[in-house]
Amino acid sequence: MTFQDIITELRIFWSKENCIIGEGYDIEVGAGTMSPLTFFGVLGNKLYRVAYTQPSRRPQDGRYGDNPNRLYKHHQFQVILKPPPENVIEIYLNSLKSLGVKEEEHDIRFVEDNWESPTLGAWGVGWEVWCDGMEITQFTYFQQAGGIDLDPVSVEITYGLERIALFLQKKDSIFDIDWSDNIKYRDLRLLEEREMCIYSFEEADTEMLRKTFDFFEKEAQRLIENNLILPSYEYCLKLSHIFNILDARGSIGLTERNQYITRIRSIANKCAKLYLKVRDEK
Amino acid sequence: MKNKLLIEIGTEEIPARFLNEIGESLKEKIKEFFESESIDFEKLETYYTPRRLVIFSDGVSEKQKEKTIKIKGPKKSIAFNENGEPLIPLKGFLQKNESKIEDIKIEKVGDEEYVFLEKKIGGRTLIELIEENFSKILFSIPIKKPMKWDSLYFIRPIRWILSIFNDQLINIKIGNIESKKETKPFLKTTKEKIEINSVDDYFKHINDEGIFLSFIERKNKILNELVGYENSLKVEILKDEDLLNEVTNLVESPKVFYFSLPSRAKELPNEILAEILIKGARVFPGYKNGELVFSFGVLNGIFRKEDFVKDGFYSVVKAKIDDAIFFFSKDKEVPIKDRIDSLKNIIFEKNLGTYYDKTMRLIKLLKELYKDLKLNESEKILLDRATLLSMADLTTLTVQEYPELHGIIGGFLSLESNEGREVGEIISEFIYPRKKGDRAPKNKLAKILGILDRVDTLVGSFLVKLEPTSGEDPMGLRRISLTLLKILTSFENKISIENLIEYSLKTFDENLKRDFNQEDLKKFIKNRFRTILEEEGFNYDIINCILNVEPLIPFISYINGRFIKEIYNSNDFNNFILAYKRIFNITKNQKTTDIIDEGLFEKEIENELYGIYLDLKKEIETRNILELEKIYDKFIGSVKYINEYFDNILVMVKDERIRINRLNLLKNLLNLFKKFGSFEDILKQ
Repeated sequence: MTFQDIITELRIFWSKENCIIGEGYDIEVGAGTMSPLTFFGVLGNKLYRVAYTQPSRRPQDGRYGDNPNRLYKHHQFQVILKPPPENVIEIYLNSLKSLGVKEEEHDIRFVEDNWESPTLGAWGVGWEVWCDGMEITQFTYFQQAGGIDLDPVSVEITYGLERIALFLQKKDSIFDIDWSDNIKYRDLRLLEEREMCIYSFEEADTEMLRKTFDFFEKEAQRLIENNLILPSYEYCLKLSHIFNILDARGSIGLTERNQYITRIRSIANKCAKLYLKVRDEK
Repeated sequence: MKNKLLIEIGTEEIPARFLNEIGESLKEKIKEFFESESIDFEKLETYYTPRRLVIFSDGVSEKQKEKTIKIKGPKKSIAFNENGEPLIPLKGFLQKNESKIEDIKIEKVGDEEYVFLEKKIGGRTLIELIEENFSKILFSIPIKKPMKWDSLYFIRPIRWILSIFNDQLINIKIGNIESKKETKPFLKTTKEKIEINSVDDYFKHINDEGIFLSFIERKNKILNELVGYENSLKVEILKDEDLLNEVTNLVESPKVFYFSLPSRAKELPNEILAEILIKGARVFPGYKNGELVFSFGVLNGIFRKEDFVKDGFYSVVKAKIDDAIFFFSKDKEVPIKDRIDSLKNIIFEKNLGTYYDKTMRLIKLLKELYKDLKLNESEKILLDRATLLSMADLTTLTVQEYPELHGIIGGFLSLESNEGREVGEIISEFIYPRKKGDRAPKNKLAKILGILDRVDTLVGSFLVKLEPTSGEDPMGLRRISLTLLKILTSFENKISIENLIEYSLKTFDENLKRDFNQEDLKKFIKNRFRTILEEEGFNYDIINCILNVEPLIPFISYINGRFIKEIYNSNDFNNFILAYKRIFNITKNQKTTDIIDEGLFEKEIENELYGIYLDLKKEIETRNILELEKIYDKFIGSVKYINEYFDNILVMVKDERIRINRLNLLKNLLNLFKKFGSFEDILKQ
């Protein structure tokens, strides 16, 4: 099964489970959770189901394409179910079956792993899912987002697509994955990995980024004061990405680090709060 | 036939680290419930797997025992008016107890008459009681990290309930889940549910599914299979206890498998490799002739084919090894001494600063501690250097990925950076013992560095109020103090707890010390010492005796305790205790000084005892304190004089000068004994 087949299968599977099939967000994010489809989708009490592929950038994890298991940018398939159905685990296992991973053949295990995003004021409890020892999914019962207690809670299922492809295709290196029948992951992404790592670790102009951070933060604040939630949130995401680059570049000291996180979180929390308020007024 | 009760709570995977405490606490709660409701039982057990919490009771009574209880009500004088009509206090009392006025009696208690109610209670069925109370019992289990779903809070969502009394369904409802006479099979996606008609039926089906309900059984199965492989493959498996407990609680149906490590594994030292296997892939390392060549994993599903699982685990291990090789080679690019400055970016504790700050404190602490150590100059140079470098490996990729390799990586990097074999050894050893039961560092200098590191964490944590509470121990201070004591008692030294605290305090900021109570910390360490000694089988009175000594020097207390244990049953020691107690009792609560005037002695025995005192004093001052046998010989030798003294001398005479002089001699002698223990705590006669 090629990388793109995996995505197609998951879209079909979750579409049948009554999910909206969304698209990856067009601003740099560190995880599928940061897409408005999740961040705002989990707030409030309306029933909601969504699934989408999200390219996710984590500059710190980049290895110039030299390491067979680590990437600057990887792909998540993200599913949100609100509220979680009683048989959510079975549904998830059936989604693996649709990829050809059968529970009777493979040792699929749920190992405790709790998740927290300090920049988004979000946390949940759950598991990493192991398939024959390999972590292929993060399965989380979201408890809080934007500093707000969720009611009902949502379940977040995040498939690590590269991991699943490695497993299904029995490859040792991500770069050997078949993206399609005739294109390898390497062909499509290796140059990007290399260059983005050079940028994040060596070239990024930290002075410029710090200034940009300040500008964007002001803009995000101004927008939220004008009740523009989504534009403000988009700037919040940009802040988070700039912070990640500065961090990878090794330019953020310890106390500074916490200050940056607090600054980002405060905007995310404001966006969440205002979103709930505006929704209730409707 | 005996009555059997079975309740199975089906959950999503309960985290391994919480499973035992939840299962055991469920048992306690049910037991309390049975006792409070007068339900008899022959056997009560709880079993648990990641997906099931099971309560099983055999020989359990079908009904509560009936009994009559007598409830005391208001005084008669306020219960009725002059016409004998009931008043509010009585009405309220009756209402509260759901009784009528016909049921009451008047009885005299002392001089007053009171209303009494005799009520029959009990006789309710077990089924009724469980239906009414089960959900309350289940949710009374303390849960450390609960989650919310469907407006309920528990460790993980509950998805099914099976509850039967013999063959009869007990109706329990939790959230939207109602109990049925059904359980779920081993595989989650197999649609079929398993119908259960009786308790025996349940155990049979669970067995057919290959599920082991009992933690102990699962653990033993894993252990036995590991040992089996040790014999058949002629290997030695590192059966890490924490890992063993964890994997036991990650599976319902354990089976051990193994595979050979990829060839690149040889590029990593055994210590790093073992950590990757244990922490990274949760498999057990297997050594052949000292070389780490195998991995032993535990899969879930005894009927499962191993091939897929083996392949999967192999690629995980291979990826982790590749990663670690990458990390380790990157780490080797920066010499360890150049990493010290980067410690400014790693927080030790938010009020105690960074690891750089900690390193600086350790250096100061070491300077202080040198006063109590006998080290030569070259040893000091090595230890100074190792202390400076001790935290530097926290900046490495390898340690950031595998925190437990702190120290070990530092050791390797020191060698790589030409810091010398000795410095490398100190750094790779000072982290031991890492947990209870672990070994102490191999060399003396590593022991000293290990002491510095632990004392700094202990004192610092108490300064910023992070001392352990009943449930929480955020800094792991119980383990740290335990391992500190283990090191202190593992080599000859005269380091006292009092000095350690005092020296360490000097290295912290004044602002932090305002609310610090040194006694709290001392008490905490003493209590941990007590635990160690108890576990080593010391009698309580010996422990009390050796711990009530100031200053508390753990090494001396420890060998002293062992010595007392050895002579505990001898006549000589017995006589010594009796003589000691004579002095102790007579000098208790008496004001004394250390001035002894020989001119006031009246009888020869007084001079003799004084001689004994001086001799003992000199002996203790000059003799190596570790030669306990010699010192106790002197103690025992003094017994005869003490007894003769008491037989011939009346201490409490009228003449104040003589009386005080006698008390002074006795008290000063007592104080010499007391340097070795509060022997009044020894309980034998």
